[in-house]
Amino acid sequence: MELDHDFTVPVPVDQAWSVLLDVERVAGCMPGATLDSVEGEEYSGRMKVKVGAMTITYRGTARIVSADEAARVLTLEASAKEARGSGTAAATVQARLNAEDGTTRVAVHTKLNVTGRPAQFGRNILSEVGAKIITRFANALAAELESPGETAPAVSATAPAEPAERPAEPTEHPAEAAERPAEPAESPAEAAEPEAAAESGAAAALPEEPAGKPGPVEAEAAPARPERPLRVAREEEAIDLLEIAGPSIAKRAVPVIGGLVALLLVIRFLVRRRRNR
Amino acid sequence: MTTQEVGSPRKRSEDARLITGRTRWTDNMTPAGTLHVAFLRSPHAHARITGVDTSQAKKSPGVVAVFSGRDLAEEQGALPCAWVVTEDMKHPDHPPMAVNEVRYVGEPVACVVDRDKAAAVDALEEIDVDYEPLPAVVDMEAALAEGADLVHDDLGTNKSYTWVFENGDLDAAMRDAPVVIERRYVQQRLIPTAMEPRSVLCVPEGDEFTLYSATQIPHILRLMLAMVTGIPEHRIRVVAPDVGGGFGSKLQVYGEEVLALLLARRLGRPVKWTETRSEGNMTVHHGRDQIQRLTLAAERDGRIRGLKVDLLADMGAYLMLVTPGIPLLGAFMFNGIYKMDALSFTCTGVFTTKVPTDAYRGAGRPEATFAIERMMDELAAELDIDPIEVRRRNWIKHEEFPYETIAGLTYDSGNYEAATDKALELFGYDKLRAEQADRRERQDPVQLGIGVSTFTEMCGLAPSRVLGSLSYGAGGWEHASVRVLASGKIEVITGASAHGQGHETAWAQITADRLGVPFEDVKVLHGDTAISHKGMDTYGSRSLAVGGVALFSACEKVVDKARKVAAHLLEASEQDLEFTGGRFSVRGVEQEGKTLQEVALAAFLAHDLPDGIEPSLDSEVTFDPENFSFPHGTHLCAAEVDTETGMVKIRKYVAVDDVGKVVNPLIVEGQVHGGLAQGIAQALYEEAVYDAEGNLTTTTMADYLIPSAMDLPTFTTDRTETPATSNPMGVKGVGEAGTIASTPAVVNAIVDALRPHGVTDVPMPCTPERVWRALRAESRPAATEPGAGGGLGSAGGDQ
Amino acid sequence: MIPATFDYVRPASLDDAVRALSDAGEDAKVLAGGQSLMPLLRLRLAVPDALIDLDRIEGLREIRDTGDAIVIGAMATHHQVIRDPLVRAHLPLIAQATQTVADPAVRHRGTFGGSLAHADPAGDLPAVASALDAVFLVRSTRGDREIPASEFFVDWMTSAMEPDELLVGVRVPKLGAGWGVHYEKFHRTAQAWAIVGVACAVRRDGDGIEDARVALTNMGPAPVRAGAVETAIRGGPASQDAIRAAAAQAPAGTEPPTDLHGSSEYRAHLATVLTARALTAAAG
Repeated sequence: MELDHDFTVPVPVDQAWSVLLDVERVAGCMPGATLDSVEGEEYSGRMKVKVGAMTITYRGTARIVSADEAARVLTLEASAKEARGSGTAAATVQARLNAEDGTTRVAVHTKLNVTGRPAQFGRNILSEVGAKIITRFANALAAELESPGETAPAVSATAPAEPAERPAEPTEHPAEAAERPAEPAESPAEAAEPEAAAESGAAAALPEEPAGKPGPVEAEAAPARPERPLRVAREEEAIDLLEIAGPSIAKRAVPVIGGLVALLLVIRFLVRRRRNR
Repeated sequence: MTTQEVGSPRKRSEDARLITGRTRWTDNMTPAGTLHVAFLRSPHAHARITGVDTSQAKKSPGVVAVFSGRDLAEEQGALPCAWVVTEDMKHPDHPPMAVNEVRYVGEPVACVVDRDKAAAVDALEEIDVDYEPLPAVVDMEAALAEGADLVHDDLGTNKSYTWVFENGDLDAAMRDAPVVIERRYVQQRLIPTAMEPRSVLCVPEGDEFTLYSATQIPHILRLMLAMVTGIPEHRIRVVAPDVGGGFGSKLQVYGEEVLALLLARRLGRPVKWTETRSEGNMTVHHGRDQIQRLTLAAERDGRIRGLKVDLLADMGAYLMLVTPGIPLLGAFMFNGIYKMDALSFTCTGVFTTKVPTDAYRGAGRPEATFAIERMMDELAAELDIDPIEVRRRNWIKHEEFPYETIAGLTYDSGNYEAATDKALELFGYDKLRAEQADRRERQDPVQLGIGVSTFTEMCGLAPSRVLGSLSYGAGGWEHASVRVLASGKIEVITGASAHGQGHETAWAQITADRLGVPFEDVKVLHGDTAISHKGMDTYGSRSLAVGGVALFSACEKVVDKARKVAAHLLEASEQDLEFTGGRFSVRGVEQEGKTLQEVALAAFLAHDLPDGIEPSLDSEVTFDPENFSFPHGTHLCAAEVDTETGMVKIRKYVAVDDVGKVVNPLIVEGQVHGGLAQGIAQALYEEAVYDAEGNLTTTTMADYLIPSAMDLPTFTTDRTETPATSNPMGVKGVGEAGTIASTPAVVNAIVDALRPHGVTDVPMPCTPERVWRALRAESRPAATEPGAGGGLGSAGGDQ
Repeated sequence: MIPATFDYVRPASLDDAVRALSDAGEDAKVLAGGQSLMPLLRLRLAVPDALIDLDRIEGLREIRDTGDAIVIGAMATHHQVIRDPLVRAHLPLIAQATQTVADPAVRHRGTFGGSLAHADPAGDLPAVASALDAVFLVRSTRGDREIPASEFFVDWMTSAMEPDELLVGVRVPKLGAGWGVHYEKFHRTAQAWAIVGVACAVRRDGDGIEDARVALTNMGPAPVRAGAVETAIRGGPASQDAIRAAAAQAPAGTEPPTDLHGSSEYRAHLATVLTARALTAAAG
């Protein structure tokens, strides 16, 4: 199946591009997704989808196929497996940015193949949900792109470490960013950083971060790094329809699960781009 | 000798245990120490297996062993296809468990053997398989196109075979034909859905194995297991205990059966596997799935000149036991009950990334019957002749039997006029036609349609020589033996393998009559190769017409043997004895006599037997029929079609079947009722749906709709009786008749209701939405209607 | 199919149940009758940590008259609801719709509250509850609250209940005199889900229609109250023309799904036809 999702954000394309490259900010917009680790070219994560009594958790990896900085087009491939059960989800995602009168139109085209139990019913178990997740992600991302972002208040526990490194980012040119040395993979303990979800207003729609994270300790280690550590969540956050209740603005034609994976992939792609710099 | 049993509607003696389930279903048997198998199945329609990590699963609670296809690659062999239809047929390797590549969703890739059934399923979640997805191939026509993605790379094509049958001069028949009708019909893919899921239990004893399986074919399965595994045939015993239906789906050698045997051998312990319903929907072989392109040429008066049939038949991913031959069984049925000058049949078998197809109730013949019966209605509409009348003008008249058809078969007997007249009377044909006209006149939102199906089928499979000429990998005989016990009780052993048909009752009725013993004195044994050493099993409506006849003859042999002993005991010559009501007596001296029981005891004691006579009345017969049998009938369906919603409701259904002589009318009635339900289900409800990526989306009964009694009308059934001449009992078989006849009757009724709206076809299943869409398409020319069967055209001379 | 492992709790009292639900966290599920949850468990689409079985709780099956309303206990079985004299007398729409749910065996196990809490838009009872302005009585360790039907069905199989909240009962206002009701269910086989269903109540006033309630099954991610139809028919004549004109509004504002049993377009069409039939039957 193929999915298309378009949205426009009221920021210039250069700014949108650079913000999209900020993993933590984008990740915060993605409901239910968790980034676990980075190994070489591969980015690993999880995504938990809860619909009523049903729960499906995916684990997967992504890798970049191409990134055309000039054309503002990113293409990546990703594949995920159900954490339990034999089903899979695989996607090729192409994200394209277009300047439009000082705003940016974001077009995400996804080719998606979902297998296993969720694909084996006449009623599309996730079709309703997936469209909503895409919409929710898009809304959150649009809000993220509109917000000043770098000056957004962080969660207090970890705030002290953040502002110092953030200011450089908004003005960072993509070409410069590409020259950054890749970072070594961090251990989960170092990386645990609970503040990302609270970075913008959009992220407030997410389920709450698990309480009781030992934020300050990790945060102290962070300043020594050229970048913030990879955001790694401790626990899976589930997408919960309750959180996105309200008038449904989903487009009927947009298949479900595709949306989920597409988003997950976008995030992973961005993570990788950043780390390659 | 009386005939009170045969022809009597006796209730089935096996039903009490079958209905309550207090019996030997395979899954009811769990010998001490049994291990449970669960299969991990491919979620992909097509993928390369790049890795199977079973290490975590091996640590799971209760796990005894975990195997991938690669672990078993050396010993698992390949699943057999016993019907090589052409010399150049492409026949891919088919490992019971996938090793390198999976080609349909549900194909097994690994298995867990666990002490606990639930724990086995849990452990499946711990197996990690890496796949490299490959393109799914789901559309037959696309699969044959140049450059299409291949199901089997090494074959270089998705075409398995093209098989051709031609008789008569088709070109001449088509040339200048006043009427030519072209249609394209799709026989949707169906899931057999037996009530009892598949189940297999293999118990090892040293180097010998007893395999219990919910199978229709214990005898064929034993031979095939021996050939696949190399275990000698005499070291394998196959038992089909009580089996809860099959409809052809258990006429198969399944990978799970082979693997159960191999696992029991490896582990030295009993192993058992029972499928779940959703697992079964994905992995039991499917039925039908053909695209039919038909061209019929006729005269203006409705007489058929010739018929051209061009089939695409979906094989699925592999060729299973008789996969490639199933559509060819239809080759001889496309002419139906009609006379014509030419018939051309071409069938191309196509590989797709779907579960393989194989025999399903009717197996090739329902598809053919649907095609010709739909075409007859189209011809009638084109010529504006009543559909009954156009059939009358073409069918073989009762005085013309035996009749050699254009397909080369000899129909031995039949009386289509009688069955049709009876059906019309029961149906109230003229009255319903009047109501139809009235509803049309009133523009009633609910329109009435009348569908006709005058069908025949070839069953009683089959003369071994004919099967040989079709390259079928087995004969078509059947075996029966009769044991006369010392007490005069009778054990009957049949090579037919009942799985719900009522053999135990019918066979006892036949035996009771032939031997003059009480019904209750007969025990029928079947389905165990250690007891029934020879058999060709049950499928193709063959049990009675072949196996029943074998029993009939075996009983005659018993009487012949008993006659010799009785003559000796009565000091009379054999010629002077008559055998009536289970008693031999000297003709004219009725008070002098010996019952069969007395003779049996004498034979058992053997104290006083004539010279050269063995001390046994037992007999056995292997019967090979000289011809198929040809049941026929006329089915009429009145359907109400709600033109606002597209909903179809069957208002009245009349089935008059001629199945020859009847042993038990109640069983015949049951077979017809069940068959009608299944045939109507193809017309209205059932369809196995694969999406574009090759996922089966009808894995549960919430999506694969099976009608219940709530959805079906009260059937009116009756019979005419024209005995078969090809066997001494005059029987024909009834297992598939209802299924074959009813599908076109229903669709004909729907199209008949909507024809004034310009509708010429509704694809099956005729769901409310499809009917609604057909109605909405009426303003468009028929020829351009997508999926609506192509154009209705006439050509030639007198226009 | 065999469900994945879960903890099983069978509390003896409502208080115990609410506490158990609160303690179990968000990955617990409540087992009412099992009509929908058991298949999900067996297919491993639901993999709860804990299952809280309400089967043994006293009083949850009670159906009682509170004067202007009937309160139906969440654990009242469909079979019980269909036969209950209070339901038959005051809420015939519920009795009629429940009669179409599944099959007799399932109706003996499945419960009124379970079906509603499952919030499947293809289920029959959510639309009925919506049409009748039912109020959902919900309890947790944090206390009781009431949720009107208009707020209860949030999205696809999603209700407004929090994970720690339990549906205790449903209060359904009596319609009173002068109302006719009808549930029009359209499905391919007797046990299949409704492709579209219409729950309808109409109050006649002589030759006119004074008031009407119309709600649709399976026409969106949640049951849809067909307000446009209600507005169009209210105060007009009970004629076929008026009914058809009003019913033509049925698809307004709906988002019917496309699935194996019907396309979105077809469902929209069906909604108009079935709404007209339901109005006609209810106004009859």
